[in-house]
Amino acid sequence: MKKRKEADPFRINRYDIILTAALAAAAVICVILFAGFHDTSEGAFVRITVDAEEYGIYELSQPVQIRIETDRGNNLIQIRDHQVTMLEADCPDGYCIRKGPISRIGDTIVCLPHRVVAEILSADGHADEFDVIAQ
Amino acid sequence: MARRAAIGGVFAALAMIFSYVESLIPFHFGVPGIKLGLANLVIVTGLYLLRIPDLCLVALIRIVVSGLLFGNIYSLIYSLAGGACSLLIMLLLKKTGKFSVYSISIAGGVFHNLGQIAAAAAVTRIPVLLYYLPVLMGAGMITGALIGVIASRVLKIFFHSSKQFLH
Ligand SMILES: [Zn+2]
Repeated sequence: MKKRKEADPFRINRYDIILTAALAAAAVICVILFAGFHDTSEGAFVRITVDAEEYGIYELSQPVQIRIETDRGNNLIQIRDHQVTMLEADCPDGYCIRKGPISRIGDTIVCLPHRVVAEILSADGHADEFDVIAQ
Repeated sequence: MARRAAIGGVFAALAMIFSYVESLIPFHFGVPGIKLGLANLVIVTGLYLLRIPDLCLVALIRIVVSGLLFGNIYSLIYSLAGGACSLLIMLLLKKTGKFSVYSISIAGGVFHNLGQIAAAAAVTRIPVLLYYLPVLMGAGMITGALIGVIASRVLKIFFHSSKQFLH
């Protein structure tokens, strides 16, 4: 069966270690790229996106409940105490509700079945694209 | 031929059972539609016991049937992408003849999750899903290692007791 010398499938060899280390390194690089380069302090705004279209940008300092009703389903997002929470959602998995409150720049709540995303933004750097919805 | 079909059927059935078990486990990465990949155990084992076309067929049947039974069209698309990425990388690594079942399974776990999240980000046009990449890669390594260990046990038993059973 063995034409060439093949590695023992049940014994860890140096190629295994190289491959596993490379995969771990790739994961660490992703962490650094995504988390390391941006500020993770408290955000100032939240951008809500529905089906890849911007739905609105809201101030974290203004308490409000945003009801989103699409043919995919319904979501209720709450802004209170500088935090954003998915209060209600009739999606099959409910992961967006379990995500809990978010408040730090770059944090997101994703309701994948309904394609609803809430993303925390900083006060500056995004200023010109803001279309802040007045209360 | 009949034996090959029978063995392929057993593998597909086993994989389906794992998919069912997986659908019962309330485990999640916070990323909807992304699954643990327990059914990969059957694919990793099959890597050493089945011919490549049979293995691909088992993987395809498993994903489509379990997707229709326990998921929806979107989770089916994500699973197909994950399953294809995972199977492809494992076949390539195995072909080199340099890696053990453990690292092949770890790479399979990582690429399973990479494929799923890439498909989900592309289908829904939600790029922020890629923020979950590191978590998913880490989780893929852990489940991959676990599956590698279990698969090695299963394979040792197979190789020991029934070398003549297959082919
Ligand atoms: Zn949801």
